[in-house]
Amino acid sequence: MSVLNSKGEKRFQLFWTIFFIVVTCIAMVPILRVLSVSFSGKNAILAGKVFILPVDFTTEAYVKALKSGSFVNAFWYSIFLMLGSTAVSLLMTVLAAYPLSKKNLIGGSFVMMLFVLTMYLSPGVIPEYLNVRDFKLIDTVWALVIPGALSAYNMIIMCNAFKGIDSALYEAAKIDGCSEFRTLISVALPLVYPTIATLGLFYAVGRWNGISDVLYYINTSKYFTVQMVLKQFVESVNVSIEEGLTTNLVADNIKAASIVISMLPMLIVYPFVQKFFTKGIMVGAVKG
Amino acid sequence: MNKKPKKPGSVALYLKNNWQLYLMLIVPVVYMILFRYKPMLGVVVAFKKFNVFKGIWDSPWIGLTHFKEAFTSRDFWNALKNTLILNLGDLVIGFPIPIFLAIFLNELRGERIRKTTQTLLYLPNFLSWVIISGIVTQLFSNSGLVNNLFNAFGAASVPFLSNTFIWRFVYWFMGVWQGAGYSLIVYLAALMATDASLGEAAYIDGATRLQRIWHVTLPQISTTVTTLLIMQVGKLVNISFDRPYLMGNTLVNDASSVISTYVYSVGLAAGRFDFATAVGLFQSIVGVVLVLSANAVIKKMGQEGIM
Amino acid sequence: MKRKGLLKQAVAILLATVMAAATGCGSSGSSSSSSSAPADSSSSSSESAAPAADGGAEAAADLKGDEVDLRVMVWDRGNAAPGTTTEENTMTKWIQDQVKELFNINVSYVSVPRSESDDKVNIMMSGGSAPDIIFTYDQSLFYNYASSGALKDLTDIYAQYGGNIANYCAEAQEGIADLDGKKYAVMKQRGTASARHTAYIRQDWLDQLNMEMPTTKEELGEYLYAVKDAGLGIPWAMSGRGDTEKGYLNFLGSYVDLPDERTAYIYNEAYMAVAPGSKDGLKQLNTWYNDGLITQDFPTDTDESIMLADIANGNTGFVLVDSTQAWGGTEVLNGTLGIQPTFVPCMPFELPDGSYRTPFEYRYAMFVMIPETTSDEKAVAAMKYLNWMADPAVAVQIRYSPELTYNELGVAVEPNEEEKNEKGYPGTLDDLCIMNLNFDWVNDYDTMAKANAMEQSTDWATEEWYKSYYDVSQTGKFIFPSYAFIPEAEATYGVDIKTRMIQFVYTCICAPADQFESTYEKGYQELVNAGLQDILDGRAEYYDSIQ
Repeated sequence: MSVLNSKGEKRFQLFWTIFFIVVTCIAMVPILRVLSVSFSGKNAILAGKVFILPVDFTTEAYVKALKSGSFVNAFWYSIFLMLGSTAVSLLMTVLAAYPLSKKNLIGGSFVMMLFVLTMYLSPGVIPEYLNVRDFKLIDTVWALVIPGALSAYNMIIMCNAFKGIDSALYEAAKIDGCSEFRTLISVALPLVYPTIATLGLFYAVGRWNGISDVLYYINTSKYFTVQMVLKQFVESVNVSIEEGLTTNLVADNIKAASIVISMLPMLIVYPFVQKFFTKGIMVGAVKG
Repeated sequence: MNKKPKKPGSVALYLKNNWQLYLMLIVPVVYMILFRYKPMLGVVVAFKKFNVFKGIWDSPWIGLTHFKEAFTSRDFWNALKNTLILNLGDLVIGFPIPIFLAIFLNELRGERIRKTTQTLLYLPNFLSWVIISGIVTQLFSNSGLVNNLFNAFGAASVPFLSNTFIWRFVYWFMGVWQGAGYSLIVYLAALMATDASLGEAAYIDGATRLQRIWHVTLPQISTTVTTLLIMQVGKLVNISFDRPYLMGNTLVNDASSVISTYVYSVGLAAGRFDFATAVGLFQSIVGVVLVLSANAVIKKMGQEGIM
Repeated sequence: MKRKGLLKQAVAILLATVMAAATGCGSSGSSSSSSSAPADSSSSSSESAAPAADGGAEAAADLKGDEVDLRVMVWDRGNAAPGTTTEENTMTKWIQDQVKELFNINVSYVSVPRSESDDKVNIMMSGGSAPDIIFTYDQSLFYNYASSGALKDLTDIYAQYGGNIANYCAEAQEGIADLDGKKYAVMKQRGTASARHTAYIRQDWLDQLNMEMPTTKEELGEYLYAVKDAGLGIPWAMSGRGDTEKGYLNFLGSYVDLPDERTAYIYNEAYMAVAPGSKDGLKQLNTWYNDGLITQDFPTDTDESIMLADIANGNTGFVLVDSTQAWGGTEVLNGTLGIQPTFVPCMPFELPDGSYRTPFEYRYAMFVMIPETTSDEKAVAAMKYLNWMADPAVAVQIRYSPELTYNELGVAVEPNEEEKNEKGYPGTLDDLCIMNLNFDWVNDYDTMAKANAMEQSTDWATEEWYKSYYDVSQTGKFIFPSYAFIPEAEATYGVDIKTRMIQFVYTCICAPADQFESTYEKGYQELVNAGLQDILDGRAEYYDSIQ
């Protein structure tokens, strides 16, 4: 393994480390800006003085956003909803992806097409609303779980992950007399951890940030998610002139604070997701 | 394992071996039919004059009127052209970058830099285009940060936002900025799941790094790459509303008006749900044709397609 | 019923006393907010004052019918008090109790997120599951519903139960919601009549340049050139929003003669840029732009952030914006410079005949509608509900909460935010007050100016400043005629044309001077191709048809 410590390798590592630091810094500009606006005073924001560092540091915007009445309830409710719907989605995704990853499954190709096409055929908002209404889901939590439960895009990624598993492992399971369910649970799933974690993250983020279904399917404000509550709250600060109310000019930092708050759960979850990524490396060991 | 039955007698055997796989599929397939395909019947409204009171089913039929309106409008073709240009740019510029980043990030041995980079690159994904477009103005406008910097060094201002040619690059650049982290994670997950021992073997064989990347790493994620590529090709005529609408301005309107903004201004804003559906149906059909063709081409090239 | 009448009259008396105290003798020293005490007078039985409000009480008794459930839309803004929701809080409870007692109506609320309100109403209407009372500010949405039969014809029940609305919200009801002689919506009445857009100029720069306040466009031009020559900053800061004509409307409009109502109807503000005469205005803006008097590349400032920063930083000498939009920036600027006034309202846009015209908001606000899917019985209940809250004595208790106070000017003040939170009142009480904001003081500009000066959080503008704001924005007050009709072409192409119109203006302003003519011609032709002429013809035709 001396190659790993050669001079060329060190130079390579150094160059790319610097490269990624630079890229990350550039990518961070918008985030830093949002952060700094959220911590800046109203006058500095109005005067356009804030760029990537806070000016006239204040946490008032956070206090205001967090104090907005329904926030705390909405926050816990949204976490619960996010976890629940992610679990449902992952289950559905795995159930679809595993059989479809089998090359010789009769009809598999057709079913796959059925799934793929849904990415390009969109019925439109009103037919979707009517459908949810027909299933009597309007104004229930299920309206936020079921209609978005399975994404064809994620299912295909999952499917690819299953396809990447060495068929020898399946053969071995078969010889051991494992049923397909057993094989899925004890052989396949442990090998695709990174993908499960990634898709879990995507589903979770999608549910956490998703607003349009909350808007259309929910009529009771206690079922509104954090994003919806924050969005409405920002709007209320930014009341339009048409309604003849005076505008409050701290809208910008409250909006920024709301964004930061709503990103926090993801920031907390992310490192745990990454842990699963590293576990995936074991695949090689198993096979080796 | 899942051998296709060659003679009628083996159907029973096939089912006996695979019934559990079909059992697994039942729930997702029924779900797809009920929640994705059933509402699709609603596209009939593309051929109707939608009346809020009567609803989709009882509104009167008007045939292809909406399609004719779109296809005879110069704006529609202009919007279609812009949609294709902007999406092709995203494909050519935006598609390879996450692959490139993933491969080299994967080569890095520092655990911390790897973790931090992928976490932080994913963050812009949370920012809406309203926010990003505000930042774009601050950065690239005539009196923006970048031009101030140019002026300070004696260079002339660059019309980033008012010249259609340069604006497109700003558009593409911001797309990478916002979206690269997302695909990066998919590729990294695929790389993590692959066989590290292969790479080590190549080391021992004395392959150069580039050879290793080309012959070992890339093939490992080729399925994922082709899959994402096929899916993105299918989306060439679909474009989000927010990004071109918010990043555009009057001076670059010739480049920034796209199908979604066209549908918005001609259709949705006037409550013309039927017209919007008609254009949506057109996009769907083109999308399906594109994705099936891309799949076929990829398969012809010897790669594994999606279907 | 009985109790309601008493409440009403108690409030009326209270109001009268407070007003008298305020206007009559300001010296009486009751300057504190202690006048809040009797507000909770619903329980106090001031029998002695009975005659004043007996009519209301009697009428109410008749109105109590069988029990009816009524679903009412309410805007959610995510700012309910802790432990409450938009649909269930102290204010909704108060309304529910009153309405139950008066009319035997069980009101429940349906939350509709404010920012996506029209979308959601559209969806619910299309799904046949809209609440019994819905509302929108958008005339085309209303027109679309009304003309496709999705709304209840309110003509009869309005005549029967809409007495208060007809009485107190009369200005708002004039025709805008009547199609073919049938009334399809009752209109919310606005409070303070305000100008759509107002121009502001730097008084301190005028002083520095030894110039007088411009009263004509020519004088404005002299000022703008002087600002440029003196190197003070951007003479006229413009922004590039693609959805509003505010940055140029009053200026272009001053080149347009509107000799009669017909012309004013055809070329209302959306079409001002193509009205006869406006081309000269565009030409002038083009010249000024090319002479460097207007923010360069302003169309790229689509979110106005640059223009607003220019105001706050004191980088500019003149702006034309939404009436109160320059206030925040001016507050910052005054604070930074330590002087006032800096920006002051001004009106330099003289018409061809030397007079002035300031477009004002319509007196109507929202279209309040009842869907066709609502039963007749519920429609009656809905009308009773709306009529009840059209009464200013009720409206004031909803808009400012039943625990309102009156300041020394007699202007109602709602409890402060902490108090509202503590007592469980929603953050935006206005959202429940969906019929009437036209209180006694709202159009008394002297009182309003005093109240503004009293209520401001930093001392950035004087009472005189606010006074001059109302005076200047009143100059040539003009409300464009409006009708409950949208020509077919406008329903189809209106939104598109509106956006194009703004683009047309921006491109004309930014064109190189020698290409102005060709840019104008080309742009105009594109507008016509996109349906402009059809729209203008449709408007003309409609106007002629109703005469």
